[in-house]
Amino acid sequence: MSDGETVRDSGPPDRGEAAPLWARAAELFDAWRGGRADAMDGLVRLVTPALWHVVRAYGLGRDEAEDVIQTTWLALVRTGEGVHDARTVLAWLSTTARRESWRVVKATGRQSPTDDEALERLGDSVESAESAAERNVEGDRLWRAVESLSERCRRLLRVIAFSDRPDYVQLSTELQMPIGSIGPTRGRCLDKLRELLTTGEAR
Amino acid sequence: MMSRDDQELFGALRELWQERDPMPPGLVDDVLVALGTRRLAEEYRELLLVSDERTLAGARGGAPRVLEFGVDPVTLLLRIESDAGTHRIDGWLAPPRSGRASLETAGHEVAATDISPEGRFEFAGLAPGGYRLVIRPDGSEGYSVTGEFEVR
Repeated sequence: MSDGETVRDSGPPDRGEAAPLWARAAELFDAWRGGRADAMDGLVRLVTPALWHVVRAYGLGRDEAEDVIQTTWLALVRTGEGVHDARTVLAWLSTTARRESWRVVKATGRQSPTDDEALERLGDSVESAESAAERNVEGDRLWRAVESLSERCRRLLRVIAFSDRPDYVQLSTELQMPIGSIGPTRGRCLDKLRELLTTGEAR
Repeated sequence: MMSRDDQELFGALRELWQERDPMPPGLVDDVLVALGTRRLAEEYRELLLVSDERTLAGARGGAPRVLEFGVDPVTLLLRIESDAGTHRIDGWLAPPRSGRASLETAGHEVAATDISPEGRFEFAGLAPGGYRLVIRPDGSEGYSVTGEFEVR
């Protein structure tokens, strides 16, 4: 059940210390294919937190996001052998989750999820006075800056933040921008974010 | 590659999203339940038709038909006798194992009976139609199912 391991593993792809997320995912996936059924449980615990943020970047509601994540895992178990190289299993999961999110967004005819999202954020932001007081000012400032970004920038930054190596071909379709401009766009979005942080400070 | 500054900013963003839009606490367990349910549902194997022959022995109202299904190491023999529009199936399961046998038409169970410890079972008074036979051995969560066969 939940243990210290789960908590430690619920982090984002950590760069540097210990083995990277993709390598730990590859090891578990290999073990599962080798017949260790419990390794799949470990893989689900390890990767689901990152998938959550990738899927939520598309503006899906929380219930929709949960469905997409379940669909993604079922797809992996179904096509287990279809992932030829275990080292790509994390990328496979992330790409599948994003495709499915994108499909849901398009199927529900949402042009911009911002309205739903804004409402939902209000609903989500109910938290105890205690934890609100504990939240640091820096966080609030960054949050306000992120909220002021365009939907496209917010999505791009969140997907990149929670993917090891996002697939730019798929991203370019979803964000309706040429592959070559994703890198520069990422740079512009970060610049914009820094600018918002600075002006927020000045206010 | 990302600059160090960019990496730090992404690190701060990750923390922020984790704090402000956390994964629902029950999500991992829900996924595990969904995967577990699927695993159970898949613990069956399809018994393939090996042969379908009419024998000459015991002919009364037409020679009985014998179907053999199997996937190593399981063999299932079905002897189908027809008389005046109704049909009877005698089944033998090898290696013998007690359990439950049920007949399905279009995914619905239409008859069920026990399989004896010797691996024998029977269905009588069947209407013509397309059937599948499902075998559930005692003490096992898995099951076997035959391909569809016509009784007429």
